Amino acid sequence: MSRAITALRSLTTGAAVICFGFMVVAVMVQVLGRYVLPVKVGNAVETAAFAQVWLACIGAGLALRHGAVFAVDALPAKLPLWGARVASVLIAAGSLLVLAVLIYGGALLTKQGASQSSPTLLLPMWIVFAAVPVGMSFMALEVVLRVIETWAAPFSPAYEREDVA
Amino acid sequence: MTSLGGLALLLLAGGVPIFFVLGLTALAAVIYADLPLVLIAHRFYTGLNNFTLMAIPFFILAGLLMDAGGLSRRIVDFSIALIGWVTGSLLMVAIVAATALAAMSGSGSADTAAVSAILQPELRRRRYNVDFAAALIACSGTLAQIIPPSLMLVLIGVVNNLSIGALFLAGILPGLLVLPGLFAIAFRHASKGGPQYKASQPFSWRLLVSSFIAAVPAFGMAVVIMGGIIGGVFTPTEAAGSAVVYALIVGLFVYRELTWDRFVKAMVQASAFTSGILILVAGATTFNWLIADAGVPEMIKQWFLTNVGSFWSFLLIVNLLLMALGMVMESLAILLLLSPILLPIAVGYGIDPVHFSVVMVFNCAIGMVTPPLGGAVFVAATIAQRPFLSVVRHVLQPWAWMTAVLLVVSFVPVITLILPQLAGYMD
Repeated sequence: MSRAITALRSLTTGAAVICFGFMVVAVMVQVLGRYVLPVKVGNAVETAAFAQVWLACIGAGLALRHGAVFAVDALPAKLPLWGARVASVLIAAGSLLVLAVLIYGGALLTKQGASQSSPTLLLPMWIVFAAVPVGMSFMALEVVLRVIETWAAPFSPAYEREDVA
Repeated sequence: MTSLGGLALLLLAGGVPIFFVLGLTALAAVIYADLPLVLIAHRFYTGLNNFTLMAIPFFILAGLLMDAGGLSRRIVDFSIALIGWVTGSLLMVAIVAATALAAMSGSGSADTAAVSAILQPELRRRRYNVDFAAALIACSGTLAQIIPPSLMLVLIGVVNNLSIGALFLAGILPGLLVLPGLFAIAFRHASKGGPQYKASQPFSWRLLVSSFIAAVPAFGMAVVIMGGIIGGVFTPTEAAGSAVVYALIVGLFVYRELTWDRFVKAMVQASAFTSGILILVAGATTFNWLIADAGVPEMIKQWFLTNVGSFWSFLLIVNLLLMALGMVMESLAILLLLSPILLPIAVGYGIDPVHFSVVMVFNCAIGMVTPPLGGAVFVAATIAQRPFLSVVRHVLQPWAWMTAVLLVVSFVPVITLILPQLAGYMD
């Protein structure tokens, strides 16, 4: 089980990094296209923005893991352990409700996107819309894992801000 | 809408992440207004599909690559050669280095982390008051949010459809105005401290020139960003992307300190931080659309115009409100949620939107060092390996000075507007 989770985390992290790299390359192609290369600028703008949508969605779980999903947890941090555990479960339940709505809405958008094309490259829009249900599903998994992994100390600062400066 | 606001505050205080607070409040609003649920996902997607917003991930990555590739260290080395000979030299170096980094990086936390990590060993070796130094570094680091390129200025520009170039220029003078006071506070502390503060290295032209030459490639980043934008070569997003490539090239081929491991770590950190900010922006886009649809900004605007007579009073109220919120809320969330409401009101009072945006961002920067949240102080304290409370009690003096400058900037608009006007961004 833990191997599967590690593999999934590596996969999503890798996908987020690839999206990020693609955005940089696309924008540089746009700059070079304007001054040096005979490349249509619109293509780069469109694909970079789509990569940004995927980065934000697929990287949302990564952000949660690295303490980059901001919360004001000064009050729950003062709770006794049992209270903190109850609070962490309630917070997770509320979070999962939001994510369920996004996954449901994202799935509907993806379905509609099958018959829509992007303005410049004429890409099927389901490719972009699918970022929402896929990314939010991974985030939902991270929300559940976070409750389990922090059960001993739900609002410990050691879990938060692990790596993010 | 009042009950929705109450729900949001309750959830925030209960420790629910801000992104989910926005989502739950939006969900309640959609159910109340009997709108389709798919609207939330659609607005969320629309909030993310924005090319200008891309400047934010790029500035975050550029800042991390500067650190990983040795650019930040060269700038600190130059600062030491420039000002390392005065009383309390390391404190002065921290301020100069943080300001110089602010001109290249858009993240206050990243600047604070970079300067802290480089200077802390030396601060300890020379037996400086590490808590005071960490507090000073945190305050100096927040200048990155005011001095361009700034993530917060990009964000407020994107959300409110303002010229990023004009905002960048408008932030320069207010940011620089903070410096004299920080120097004075550092000097006063050093003068009253022990002999360790006077044990400075002698000034050397040779060292200054050699460290400057070493730092030239690092300083080139500021030229790429601001020169590119003001010169009309790049849009802000393209300038940010170019800054990433520039930091990569300098770190790889000039300083040769950017290893594969450091690069991967920077990419993962940037991806995590970027995703955290972007989903917050998307959540706020959904939330703001719903409150705009319900006519809330117009109601608040009418209330202000009826009950608050002058723009002076309005600005004072806004500053007090933002300062209070800055104590308990993440600065980015404040900007995302309140700027679309407050900006049209400010315009109604005849306040220039660029000026008002800088005032809001300045306020949010101060919020980064205001307890109990104080994100920048948290970063500085963590790197200094000191308790948060020990560091934060030294924040008061620089905080008071920054607040005084904020008031001056608020009520003397020419300080913010002169540079964008001279550059032709405004009439």
